[in-house]
Amino acid sequence: MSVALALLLTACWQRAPGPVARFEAEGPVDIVEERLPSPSTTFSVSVRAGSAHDPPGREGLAWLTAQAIVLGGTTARPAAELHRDLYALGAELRAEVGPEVVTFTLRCDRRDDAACGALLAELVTRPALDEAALARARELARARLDAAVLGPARALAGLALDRAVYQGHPYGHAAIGRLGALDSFTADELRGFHDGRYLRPAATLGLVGQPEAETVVDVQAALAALPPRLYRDVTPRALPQQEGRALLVVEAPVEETWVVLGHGTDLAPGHPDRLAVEAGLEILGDGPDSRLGRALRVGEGAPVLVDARLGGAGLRIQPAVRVSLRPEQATATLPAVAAALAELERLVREGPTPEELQRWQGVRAGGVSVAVATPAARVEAAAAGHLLQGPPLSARATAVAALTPARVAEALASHVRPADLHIAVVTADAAPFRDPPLAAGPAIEGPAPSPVSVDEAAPWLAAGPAGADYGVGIARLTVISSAELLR
Amino acid sequence: MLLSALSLALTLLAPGPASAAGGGCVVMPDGSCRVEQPRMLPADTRDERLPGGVRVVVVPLPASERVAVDLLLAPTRIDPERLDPLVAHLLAEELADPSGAARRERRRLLGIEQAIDVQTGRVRIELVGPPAALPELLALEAARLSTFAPTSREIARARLELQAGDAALVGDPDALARRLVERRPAPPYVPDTARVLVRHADAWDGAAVSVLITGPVQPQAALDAAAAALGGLQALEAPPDRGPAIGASDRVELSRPSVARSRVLLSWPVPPSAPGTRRAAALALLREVLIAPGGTLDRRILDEGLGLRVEARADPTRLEILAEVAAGVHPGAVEAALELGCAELLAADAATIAPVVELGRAHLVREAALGLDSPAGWNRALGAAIAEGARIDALDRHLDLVSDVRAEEVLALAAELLQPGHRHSVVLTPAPVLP
Repeated sequence: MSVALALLLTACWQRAPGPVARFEAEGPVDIVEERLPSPSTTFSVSVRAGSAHDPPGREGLAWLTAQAIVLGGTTARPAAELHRDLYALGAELRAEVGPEVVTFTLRCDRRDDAACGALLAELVTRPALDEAALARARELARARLDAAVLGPARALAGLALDRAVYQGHPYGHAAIGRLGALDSFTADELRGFHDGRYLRPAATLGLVGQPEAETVVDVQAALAALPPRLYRDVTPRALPQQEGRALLVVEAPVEETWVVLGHGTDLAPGHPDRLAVEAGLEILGDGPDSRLGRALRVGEGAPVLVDARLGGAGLRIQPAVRVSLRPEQATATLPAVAAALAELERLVREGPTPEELQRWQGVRAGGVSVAVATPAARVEAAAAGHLLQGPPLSARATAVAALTPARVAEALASHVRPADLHIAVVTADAAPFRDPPLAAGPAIEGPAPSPVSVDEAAPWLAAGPAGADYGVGIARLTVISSAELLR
Repeated sequence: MLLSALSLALTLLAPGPASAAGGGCVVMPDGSCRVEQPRMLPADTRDERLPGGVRVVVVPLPASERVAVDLLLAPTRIDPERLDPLVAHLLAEELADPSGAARRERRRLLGIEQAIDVQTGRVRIELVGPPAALPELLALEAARLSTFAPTSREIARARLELQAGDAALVGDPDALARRLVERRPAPPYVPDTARVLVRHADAWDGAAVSVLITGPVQPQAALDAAAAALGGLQALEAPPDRGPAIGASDRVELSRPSVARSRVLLSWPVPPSAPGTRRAAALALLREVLIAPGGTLDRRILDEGLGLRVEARADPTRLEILAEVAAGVHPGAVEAALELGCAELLAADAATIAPVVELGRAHLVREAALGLDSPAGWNRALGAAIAEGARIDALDRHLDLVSDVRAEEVLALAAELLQPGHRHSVVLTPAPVLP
């Protein structure tokens, strides 16, 4: 590379762009980096080309495109040569497809950073995306979908809740797509998706380690081959309205029962209430010492797992409130759901106590979150946040400390609706959910709040909230198989 | 400066002076190329035993942001084959007594991450936290053992968590195939509650416990902190030696509803070879030769569209090849292709396989370096060496030997190990799941 070109690129190189959105599509790809002494260098390229960008009826296109890029080589380097090169480098290449962002990551020995950076840029800008690449990606998708039909229940429950909560919305399908659409994709379609979505202003380069400055400039210059067009976001989009509580039961050949309940929100990464709602939900159900954990006596050994948070698979502009339960016995599902609903209602009504919030703030300040525990994770989160206009991670510590119980209560009251929830259950036997008192048939008109005695329904919960009777109040019931969920 | 990755990798093997920073090639008297490796273990690494038998390894990495403390528990007289996964899980997740809850809370407040690995038959429980918290990390590890007295209710809940979180216990086909070839109980895993309740009360043998401390620590201070936390453990009795997991050749076919795609696993027993020896290095290279891009199995399975992936593993007791069968392909075709691929390797001469050996050598060297880019990575590598009964400097010796072993030695080892009469095969296929 000539010195002149290096100087030119360095002059317009933004090393740490921060949270400010950039509109000049003609500029270089933005960079987020963690410079630290390390024997390895990790390059990542994040592109706003996740599964939310799948056209209607073409679910899985973003996923197939990303995997075909990884599996299929480039226009200059056949797949066999690419994989031989990666193998010789001992390098680890992966593509992760979320609803909003696709991230390609390549981790290499520091001695190989120039070759690795060049290779990743070549993959992202000049993928072969031919029939052979599509065939390999399709076969991988088919294998994963075939396996997903069989479980695990936890993953199926997450997919089922997305389907229920985001019906008709870009988040309403699995990133990997569905079996029914798989054979209809063509290589032309993948190339069209790449041309239309892998754009310079929609991409961010992430770096961890100590790559040579010249290497960074080279990679950034190579990424300038991405088209400099502006693009239109597909989200946020109006969320489907849900009134009352709806139950989706997925029958699958699984040994355990999983339940997830929740609803969608408009809490984008930069929304001022997002952190407060995150705090409230984690106070509700983050582990055995949470409010729900204590109510169900999880810490004392009660055989049920609980979890509550704001999110879903991959970073989302419109995340979902999610409360997950895993009772040991399917018969305990309804009482566990009832307890979760009662605790959620109470939290939204009363807000957290100062002690609960203080404890949550302590945990957050401790940096327990795996998302920010390693430099590579920090860069990945920062790159995705940059693309989605989220606040920088460095601003979160201040925001955490500034939260008050009243602020959390206000945010919960504004954004969490315990009365309007989807409940997704994955179980081996859906029959009990078709029976009274929960439901009287495939469709029930209006709320049917049939109280369920905790003591009667689940002896293990008898020592739970004293003398409580709960009504779940399901307004609508749907039962499908896991094969239908992924078809 | 768009160097091809391959040409760069081959640069490592080109004649030239060794480079202390980046490795290089030294031409040996016989014309072969030896890749010189930088020393991996820092000079002030410590490997000592406390009076009660606990082994403490300290690797100072001044540039790290975090310190990793790993507790390694070897199989003991209680679990001579492997530590019960339920025991491991109970150890990792502090129990419900008040002190357990306090420890859990402390871990969260200090920003300590925890990871657990039970795949090797040992238990490795890792805590990663800020360097200033080293004494607390060690105290947390020690407290697991000193307070281990689970109730039946805690065991029931731990079982639930295990089933939810450990794919190996709920039907992961790869894990299931490996369990079958090891003749271990197939999932679903059924823990023996009474055994866990009664037999582990005072079972911890100091001689079967190791602690690895890696990060920005002062070695003597770290040793002192380890002694303060774990000095109370006493040696009991030597654990029984683990022999090879399998004996004579056999073949198992099994159908399971949890399997979406068939798996074919071929496994051969490996006579004991100490890590850090020439034979262990040749075994590592043989593993790479089997699966390297362009190698015999890559061509026969992946290029022919018979399988989605082929993996090989080698440990001190076993060499195995696992293939995931492509849709619409009979597993018998994959099994036959694997056998043919092995036969092809046995019939090859050194000149034919030399390029694949060099490729595998370059991969192993780079892979090893990448594995040591964090305190946790160091502890994983050291833990593996310790689990195999090696001294910790085996890490350095192993890479030197990988750079030195010749294609002829790899072929000789293949001829010794890959005998059809010693082979164990598992074919795992889908079973109908719904009527």
